[in-house]
Parts: sequence; C-alpha cells; structure tokens
Amino acid sequence: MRVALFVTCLVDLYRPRVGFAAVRLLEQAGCQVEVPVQTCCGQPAYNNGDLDNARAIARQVIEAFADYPYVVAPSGSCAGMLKCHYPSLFADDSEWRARADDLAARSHELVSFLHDTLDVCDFGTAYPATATYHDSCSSLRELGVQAQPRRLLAQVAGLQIEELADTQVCCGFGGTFCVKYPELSARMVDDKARAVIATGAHLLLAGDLGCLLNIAGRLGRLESPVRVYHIAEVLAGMADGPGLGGGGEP
Amino acid sequence: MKSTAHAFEHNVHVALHDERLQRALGRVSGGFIDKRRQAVRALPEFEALRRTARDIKDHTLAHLGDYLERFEARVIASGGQVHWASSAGEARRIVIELCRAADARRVTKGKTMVGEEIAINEALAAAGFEPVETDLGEYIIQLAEEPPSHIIAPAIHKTRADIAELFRRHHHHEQELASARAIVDEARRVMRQRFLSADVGITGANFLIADTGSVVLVTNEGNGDLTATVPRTHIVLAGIEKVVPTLEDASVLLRLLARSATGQAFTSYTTLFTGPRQPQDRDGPSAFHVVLVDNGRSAMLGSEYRDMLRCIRCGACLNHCPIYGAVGGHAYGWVYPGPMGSVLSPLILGLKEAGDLPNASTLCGRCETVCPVSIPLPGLLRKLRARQHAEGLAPRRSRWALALWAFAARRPRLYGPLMGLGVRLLARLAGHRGRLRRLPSAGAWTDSRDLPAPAGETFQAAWRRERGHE
Amino acid sequence: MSDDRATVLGAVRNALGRPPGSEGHPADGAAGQRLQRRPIGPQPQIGDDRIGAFTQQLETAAATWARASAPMEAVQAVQEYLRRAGHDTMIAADHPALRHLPWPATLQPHFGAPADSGACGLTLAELGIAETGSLVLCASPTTPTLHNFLPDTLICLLPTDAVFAHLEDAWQWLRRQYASLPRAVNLVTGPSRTADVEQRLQLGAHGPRQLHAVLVDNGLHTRP
Repeated sequence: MRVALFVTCLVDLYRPRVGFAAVRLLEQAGCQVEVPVQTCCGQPAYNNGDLDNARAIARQVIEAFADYPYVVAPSGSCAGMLKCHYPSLFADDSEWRARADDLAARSHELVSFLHDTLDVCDFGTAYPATATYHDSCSSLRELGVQAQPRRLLAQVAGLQIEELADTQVCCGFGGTFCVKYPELSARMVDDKARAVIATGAHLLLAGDLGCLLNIAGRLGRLESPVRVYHIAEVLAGMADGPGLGGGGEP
Repeated sequence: MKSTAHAFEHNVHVALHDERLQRALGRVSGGFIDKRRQAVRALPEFEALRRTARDIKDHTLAHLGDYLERFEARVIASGGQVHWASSAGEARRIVIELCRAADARRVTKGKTMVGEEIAINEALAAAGFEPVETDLGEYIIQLAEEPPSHIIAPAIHKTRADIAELFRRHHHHEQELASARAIVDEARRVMRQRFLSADVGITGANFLIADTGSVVLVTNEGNGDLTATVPRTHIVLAGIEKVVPTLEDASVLLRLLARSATGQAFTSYTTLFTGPRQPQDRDGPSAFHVVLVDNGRSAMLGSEYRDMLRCIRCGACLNHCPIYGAVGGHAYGWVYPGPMGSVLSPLILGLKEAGDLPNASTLCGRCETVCPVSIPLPGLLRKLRARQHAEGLAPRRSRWALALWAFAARRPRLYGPLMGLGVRLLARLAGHRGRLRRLPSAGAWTDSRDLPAPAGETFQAAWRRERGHE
Repeated sequence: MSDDRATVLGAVRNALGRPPGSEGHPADGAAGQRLQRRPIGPQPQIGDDRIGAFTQQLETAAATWARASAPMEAVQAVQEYLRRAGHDTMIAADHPALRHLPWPATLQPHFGAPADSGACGLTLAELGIAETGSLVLCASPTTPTLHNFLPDTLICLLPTDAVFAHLEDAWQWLRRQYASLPRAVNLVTGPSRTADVEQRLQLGAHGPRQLHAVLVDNGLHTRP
C-alpha cells in the first residue's frame, strides 16, 4: 500500500533520523513510502490566529498529499492539525472543506497507524533498558492515542516501561508558547523533567518531537543522563546513537 | 475589581517567585484533581450526564429570551421582583437603590462571582453601606483586601498562618489561632453576630429555574442560607446565562457541579429559594429581588463564543490547568482565572486589556476534557487569537517573525534550501556537543533549557540523496 | 423602578436572530414543550436497597443516623444521641409530629424559635433522597428555616417511607404537595463544612457542626 510520509517540519529540520525510522517501520509493515515535497502543517500560523497563512499552507498540504490513500506523520500535533483542524479552517468554503475532510480521513499519526490500521506491533527489536513515555497533549486528547504506543513498546525485547507520574500534564512546549511565555514554559518543563528523572528510567520516549526537544533541553540543563528518543527510533532499532541533545553515553 | 490583566507577564513573574503562594498552590491541584477523579470513577453515568448537560445548556441558550421571561413571570407570581441590568454600572445602581429602599446599613453577602465582576462591594461601600462577606474564603480576602484567586476557593493562596494573622488583627485580640479548627470556630463566632444583624442579604445563584421562578444556591458552609433567610431583604445577583428550564434539568447539572468542583457527590446545602416569606412563615425575607445581569453575555450569545455561556462555574478547568497550577488566580488579573477566565476576561474587558490571557496557554486541552458541559475552551482561545491577529493586536515582533516564517513555509522551493542553511549553521555552532547552551536572541529558550543541535541536513534533502528522487 | 428589561431582552433576541419586537411574545414551541414535558436526564443507579443507599450516603457526608420502628424508639434514639453529643436540652421546631412524640419528663424539648447559637436543635424533614443522602426540609410555619442552620447540633427526624431514590422524585412530590413552592426548600447533606483553610476539611462552618438523622418506620406524620 502506498503511504505518503508527512515528515513534519521538526523532524525534517531537526532530527531526520526519526523520519527514516518511521520509513523503516512502515516498509517493514509492508508499505511503499513516498515523500512529496513539503514544508509544514501550518500550526504556528494557526495557533497564533493567522488564519490566512494557515489556510494557504493547508491548501498546499492538501494538494501535495491529494493522491495518497494514507498520509502518516510521526507526530500527534501535526496529525491532529490535519485531522481535526484543517476541516475547521475551511468551514466557510465548501470545496476546500470537502478536500480537507478527505485528507483528514486519510491522515494518521504513526504509532496509531501501525497499531490500529496495519495491526503490526512487533518489529523484532530489542532494547534492554527502562524507558518512560510522555503522552503529548495532541496525541492524547485530539487523537486518543494512549494504549497504542505502550502496546508497541511492550513488544521490544528487554524494554521495561516505568510510567511517568502526571503523564497527562503538558510539558510546556506548546509551539510558540515556549518562547512567548518562557517563565511559564520553563516551570512546566522543569516539573516534567523532574518527573522523568524520578522514574529512574534510562530513556524518555514520546511521539512528538516538539515535546522531546523541550524536555531534552531541560534534562540536559539539569545534567541528567536520561537519553531522549522519538518512539519510532526505538521501535525501528535505530536508537543506538546519541539521543536528542546528545546527552549521555549509551 | 480593577483589572491588572494587562500586566500578566509581570504577575506571572511575581507569582512564580512567591514561595508562600507556590506552597499553597502545591496543595490545590493534587487535592481537587484526585477528588474529582474519584468522584467520576464512582459514578458510571458521569459521561452520559455530561452529554445531557451540554445539550440542556445549548437548548436553553438557543431559547434564552423565552426562559428568562418565564423565570421572571414565576418570580413575580411567587411575590418576588426581577430587575434587569444590561451593564455592570446598571446592576450596581439597582442594588444600591434596593439597599436604600430597604433602609439598610449592614449587608451580608454570600459568594457571588458576578458580584465581583460588577465590583459591587466597592459600590456598596462608596454608597455608605457595610458589605460583609460571609463565605469564609471571601471573608479572608475581604480582610486582606485582595481579590479572589479561585472561583470556588477564593483564599486558596492564603496559608493558615496568613489567616490567623488576619484574624488576630481584625478581630482585635492577641490569641494564637493554632489550628484550622480554631480559625473556623472564630469565623463562626464572629460571623454569627453579623448574620443576625444584617438588613439586606446579597447572594449569587448557581441556577435560576424558569419553571418555578426558583433560585438554586449551592454551598457547603451554610452562609448562603443564613444570608438569604435572616435579613428583611434578599437580593440575588445572577448572570442571564444562569437560567435552566426545569428542576429536572437542574438535577443533571447538580449531579455534575459538586463532583467537578470539589469531588463531593453533593454539597452540604443545596437550596431552592422561591419568593419572599409566605404569610404564615416565621422567618425569611419579606422582599425577594433577582437582578439579572447581562454585561456582555448577550453579545457572547450572538457570537462564535456562545459556548462559553454553558459555564456553571465549577472551577474544574482551573484545577487541571498547568498554567493556573503554576501561578494561581491573581496572575490572571481579574475576577475569572484559568482557562475560563482566559476566555471571559477578554470578552468582557476587551483584548487590549486582557490580550495575554488567550495566548498564555499551550492549548493542551485538559480543561476541555474535564469541563462538565464540554466547553471547547482551546477552540475559543484560538478564536480569540484569530481576532487579535485580525485586529492587529499581536505584538509587532512576533507578527513579523511569524510572517517571515509563513512566507517561507508557503514556498517549498525556498523553504527547503533556506531551512537547510539554518540547520547547517546551528549544527556547526553546536559542534560535537550535540547541544547549545546559549544562543543569541534565543534566550527565551536557552535561559532554562539547552537547545539540542539539529542534524545538519534536512530529512527531505537526505531522502532525495539516498533514494535518488528528483 | 425602570430598568433595562427591554434592552436586555432585545439584545438576547437579536443575538438569537429573532425579529426585533419579538420580546414579550409567549414562549415558542420548543421552550413551552420542555417546560411541559420536564424530561429527566441520566440518574445514578441506587439499587434495590434504597434505605441502605440513603444511609450509606449520609455517612459519606459525615452525618450520623439511627433507625426507629416507632415513636417511642425514636424518642429513645434522640435521647441516646443527646447523651453522646453532650447536650441536655433541645430546641425543637413547633411541629405537631414532634410535639406528639412520647417525650419523657426528663427530656421535654423546648418548642419555639431556634437559639442564636450553641444549642441542639430538633426538626423534621419531609423527605430523604437516597442518591445523595440528603434531607429535604421545607420552610413552613411549623418548620422555620433557621432551625436548620442556627443550632450547633441538629437532629432531624423523617419517616422511613419518605426516602425517595432520586432528586427528580423529590421535585415531583413537591409539585404535587405544594400549590406554590415553600419559600425555601433545603436539601441538607451532612453537617456544614469548609476547606477554605489550607484545603483541609473542617466540619461545622456556619451551619450545624453535627447532623443526626433518625428514620422512623411508623407513626411519624409530617403532613396533617
């Protein structure tokens, strides 16, 4: 089956490895992956009230991904943008609304796609370590992704999951929020980082690179040896190099 | 209450560095969150009630004029009076006139958020009346001359020591009030005299029942009932959105209210007040007045913000909000804090005054998941941001930064190379360390966090290189 | 006093897209229908043991209770409770059902207006509601409201067969019993309380510190 990878701008610019991990997982599950030329889902414009630019970017995305039966993103917030918010952007435009609805129906967050649509949970990976998992807000609340990552991680040989306290509390990234309200964001990410450290886990995993960059940044500042990866990297057996922020030795 | 919402960032800074506040806040979220969770778990019908409650509210709002008129007719039929105020000023004028007509001196008050909204205490004091808050939390902040910091627990930011000191000073004694028990007992003693000597009692209303003309008041302390029953005149202040059609409809909302607010199945006192005392009654007010307050609500009704009028003032959104949890209610600068305040304050005070509030949110959505009437709070915050953008009210620097970014994002052929350049540069700056401790003009990030280094080549460039496409 | 009635109703109608001047028109179909039908929403399951559910909720709300099969036992239950609570007298609401209980010479309640503070009070509830553990007390010449709030300790009698399952049952009953609702209908659920000091629960704020319910199986007639 043909799948278009919605890379997401953070993966594209910051950690391409996550994109390659997503491709490996999809190919292993039997997909043929293609990557149309793309920029961003438009969240920064949308969340800052710039609806004109948000719509322009959305139209671009809708066009670029029009011909694929499945569009998969290694990010809850980007998948949420495509699935939940694109249709509302075109509420007053029946033509584009229909096209947005169509894209929304074909769009998926990576882990839930693997679990719910492809019914593949085991990728034959091993990673003896203890990990903790942070539920990103969009994944959790916009897409209902909660059980799936844990099920997939349970198939990784040797990997123990230690649940994070207050896993459902926001990490304080929030896109531009973290730079518009730095003191608030710093406080939230500090709470989150300390909760991660308190689990005693070696690894922090999540499905959103924004959250991961944010928490990794704080863990690094606290000189914590916790290594931070995107869940796709661990599932695909590609978490052997340095984690985000290059922290610690494997 | 005078707003300091425009000074949000300063308020946040102060709050984050206020150790006593931080300790007090530590008690808040955990307590309310756990209690609510337990209450919800114990009631299998909770989600069904939430859906019904939302529908009841939406239906009522869609027929608000009819239900308000029916409510008024029933109040009058039961011997009460209804007054209508389109603005805060008009509401104040009505209340003052009623107090004058009652020849009042001492006025006791139950907790009423709409009373704070119209700044009724200041108006009463200026008109020569002596308003006395009877809800313990409200009384504490009245003594401290502070605004409420939570809509259910107004003095949540006060420690026991703070309160004991306030009592010592204002009740004129030198005793050490060593325990919460001692404080509550003293409040009981002091307040009892005030209840019994009041000429007018002012309360809010949790619900107004159109079918019977009843006012529903939900309290734990019993102060609302003493305020409503002892004086000659009872004045009820209520926003126009408080009306619900029937007692059956109120039952649905009542099942959600206490559970969402404090985790109780029901509060100690849920009272229906209908009209003044009846001819053979031995107690009760001889005059019963309901003041219906608009103050921006009809505008909300006709706007894309109508869903905000579903709010039943339970406080669940505050309790679950990580921003509220970090800074408390005063940081929001006005009567309504947290997520609901971030929608209401801009709508009532305007975006120029309260513009930070809708932006100071990660849109995590936890508020919406716990709201008993499913108000789409993140969606409403986004709408406020869109209005800000459209009215050119966003700060210039961020508008420009976003405009530049959007310019690139709309041009894939430009975006790729441009971003590729940027990440190569950042990666070079970080070198082998994998992160940056400092980055000029990125202090907002790097003051408290390392900036992980990007890989140095974009995914799309690497993909095309490896897979040999175009 | 003239006020903004027309302005507010006009603004509301306008907001709902109704034609101007429709203020003052009778309730439209939908509102009128709902007011007639009074649909009932989801209700918590009570189970078959309504009294058991009621007393369990009473306890959760920090009230205490006793059950008496007849008036004599009810009096004994009250005496027993007074002893435990450390009161030797009571001020009772002047209701015939309370007057006609077989009070011994050693315990004659004082029937009259409640004391300003400090006393033990005795009153009567019309109904109980099992889903919440609430006592329903209606203001009346024989059961004034202040009896429910001024005493330090409140004892409340109610007929066991007046315990209903749900809130809606109580509203239905009230509508049938009263042509016009009493000035105040108090749903009392446990003693008064506050958590305003450091979020620690204290029982006994401005209303009673203790609430004791006595269910009487036979012989307690709240309505003439």
